[in-house]
Amino acid sequence: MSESKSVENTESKSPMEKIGQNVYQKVKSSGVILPLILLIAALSIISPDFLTINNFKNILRQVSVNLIFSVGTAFVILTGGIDVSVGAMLAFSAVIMAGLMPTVGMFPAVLIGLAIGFSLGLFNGLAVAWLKLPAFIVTLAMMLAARAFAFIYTGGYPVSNIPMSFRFLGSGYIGPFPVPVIISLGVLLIGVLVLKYTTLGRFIYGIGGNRDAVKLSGVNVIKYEALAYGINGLLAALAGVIMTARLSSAVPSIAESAPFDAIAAVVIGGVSLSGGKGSLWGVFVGVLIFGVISNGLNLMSVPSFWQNAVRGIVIFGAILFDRLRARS
Amino acid sequence: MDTFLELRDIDKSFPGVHAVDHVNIEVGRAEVHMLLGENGAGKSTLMKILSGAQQADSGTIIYNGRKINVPTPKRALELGIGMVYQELSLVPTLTVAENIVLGSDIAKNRLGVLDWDSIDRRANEALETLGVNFDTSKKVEELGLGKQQLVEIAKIISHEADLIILDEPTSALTEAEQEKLFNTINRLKKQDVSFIYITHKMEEVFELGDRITVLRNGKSINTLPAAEADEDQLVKMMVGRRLENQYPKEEIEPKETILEVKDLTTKKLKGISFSLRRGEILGLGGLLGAGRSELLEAIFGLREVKSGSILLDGKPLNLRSPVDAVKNNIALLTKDRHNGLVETLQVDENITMADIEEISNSGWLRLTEEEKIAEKFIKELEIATPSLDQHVKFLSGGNQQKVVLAKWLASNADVFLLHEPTRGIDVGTKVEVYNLMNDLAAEGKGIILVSSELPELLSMSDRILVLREGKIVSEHDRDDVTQEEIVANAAGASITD
Ligand SMILES: Nc1ncnc2c1ncn2[C@@H]1O[C@H](COP(=O)(O)OP(=O)(O)O)[C@@H](O)[C@H]1O
Ligand SMILES: [Mg+2]
Repeated sequence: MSESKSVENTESKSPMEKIGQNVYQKVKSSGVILPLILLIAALSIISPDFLTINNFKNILRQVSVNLIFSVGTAFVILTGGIDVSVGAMLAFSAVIMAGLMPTVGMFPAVLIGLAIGFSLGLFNGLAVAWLKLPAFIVTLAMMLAARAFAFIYTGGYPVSNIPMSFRFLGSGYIGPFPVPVIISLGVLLIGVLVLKYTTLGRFIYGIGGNRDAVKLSGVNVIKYEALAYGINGLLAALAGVIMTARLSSAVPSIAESAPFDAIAAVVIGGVSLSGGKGSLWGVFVGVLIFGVISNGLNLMSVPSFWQNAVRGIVIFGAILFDRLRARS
Repeated sequence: MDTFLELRDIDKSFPGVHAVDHVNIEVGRAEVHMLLGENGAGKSTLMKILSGAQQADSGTIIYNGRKINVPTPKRALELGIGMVYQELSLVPTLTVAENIVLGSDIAKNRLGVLDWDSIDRRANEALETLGVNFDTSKKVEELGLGKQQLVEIAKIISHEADLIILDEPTSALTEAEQEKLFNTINRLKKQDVSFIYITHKMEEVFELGDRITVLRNGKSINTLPAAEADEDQLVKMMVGRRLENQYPKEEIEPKETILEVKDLTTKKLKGISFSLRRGEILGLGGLLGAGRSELLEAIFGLREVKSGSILLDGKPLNLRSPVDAVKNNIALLTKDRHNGLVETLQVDENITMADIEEISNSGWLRLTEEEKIAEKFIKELEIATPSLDQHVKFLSGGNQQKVVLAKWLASNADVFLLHEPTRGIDVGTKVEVYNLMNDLAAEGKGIILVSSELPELLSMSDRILVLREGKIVSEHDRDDVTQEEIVANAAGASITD
């Protein structure tokens, strides 16, 4: 029979080959790898400093925070939802963590920060999944409230009396690799594994594809849908830990544009806004595109006001390119 | 007969599937041309090529004596070719009226502003030509599947096409609605409209058809006049072999009671009591809205129970959601298969959906185990798919239905609530489904069968309960009941009026 034949075919390949092929397929099908390559090629020609190992290390370090919360946002968007409170959850958990650090110690403070992020995310998730409130509005409310509490808690000032050793998480190195890069790539890898190899990942895709069908299969959809938001909150808080460590202070107004950067990267990476389709490898490429652009514009000393204009044009162009490609 | 449409050497492949294999078909003016074939034979694909929804790899379409190109469904409509798709293409959040006029341009007045009066008028007219009548200001998503099908048909008819393609149009219609559709077809035929009609129902083939073409594995096997065809011969052409018995019911001695429903009352049910034994197939008869779906859904934890109880193996159940039902090994095959599938997931991922515990270990999936289970059911149910990794969206309708069935078979349920389990499935596969039901019964499972196909209900059930207005009105043994009795009991007072 034809179906059993094709099954054998995939089995005869080594696991590494399979994974390699899989990554290649996923990135390719997300469509945006070509714009990324074109962008890199163009910048290499324009700026001689661009195509160096050091600069690439730089880019990876610059995008590490974005990559972390974009992975979280991808979880939410894959369920067919949306979360615009990423930046606010990040700021709120970061200021509390930084505020507690001198009294409770570094490690417990980080744990508390992460727990706060997870709880805020879970609150969003339960409001959406259980109370069936619209995700955009719920997370908009969270965005306003969490951001406001970050300001109230700090009185509007940065929280900066944090230990020197904590900075390691933001600007340290392990061997030749910056710590934030290691953490963010770790998050990406774990995210990929969770989506592909766990029941949670399976149901996240399922809920985004057809929530009713998953529910009618006897699956506790509320739990899994809420967890996706919880993970988003957790990763927002983790991004907050790294930002705080890098800046040596927690700033209540930080990461205002985070949710929109994340949504842009996720969508450019080929994840469907209606849920159920897409992969984290695509999201990685999406994040890199923005990183490469900022980096290139900085190397060319383009004023920062112009940079956002360029990003806007890139978002539009990449999506247009992807749709045209999908149609042909 | 003067040839009106000619499909010449049409060919189309998808990755791993030769869906349409150099097919030739001729359709005459005012002819109803029946297109038969098993699930995945290529019927829908061939017709989508004609309606512009898909493009052929090669081949020619001659229409009204000219060679035509159909790059889009819009172009097809302009040429006078309209198609009612198997998977409906209505916009769920728009109203019936909006859906019917969608894509036509009379709905605007000179200033380009929508003219609601004329939209409503036109929608109502469209429904009237079909002989049906319902509120056109309702949103399509609020309608049942049958009504949606009618809206879709009305929409195509209102475009005044010369050739209408109907892809399994009656799969969700009631007898009465079906009759109205047939009348409409016969009336339009007199106005020289031609039809290509895809169906799995033999009665329709003989009642409506002028000629019949049978497809198998993408190839056209034969075209013959309906008057010269008989059912056995057609089935043989479709399946490629003879079918001994269309309803291979096995007599199985029922054992102890597995499910007991006592005095169950919900919004629509009024004190339902019955019991189901292991090894028994219990049929539920009744008209649309009699409460059959409500009863299945109540047993599956989807309806609020006002009073009464449901007992499994003698223990009362408290079913608040499908999670509880599946935990107690109750399975519901929904009437609408779109509620049973995640189309963006793969075949194997859908098959194990209700059985995730079996293939996971504290949250981690065991993918080789999953593949094994999926392969087993793909083989057992002969699901036509190029691989386990195929997204369910790309399977033909009947094969999608088999995937839903496989999901519940894989879940090791004890009680199977089967709501129209053979909808959209071809004759050969139906027999396989019946054999599966026999096997399940032999294993000591309890089965409740809801089917609007009376021959199926009567042949496969050991016992039949007839529901009317939320109550059980009669109970019949399979040996001494006729279709007429079931119908009379289901209709109740209205038949003696
Ligand atoms: N868009 C598609 N992509 C891949 N395969 C498809 C697609 N559409 C149909 N097929 C495959 O083509 C074959 C014919 O399908 P279809 O025409 O829907 O069959 P039928 O209508 O006769 O049941 C099936 O094997 C089906 O899986
Ligand atoms: Mg079909």
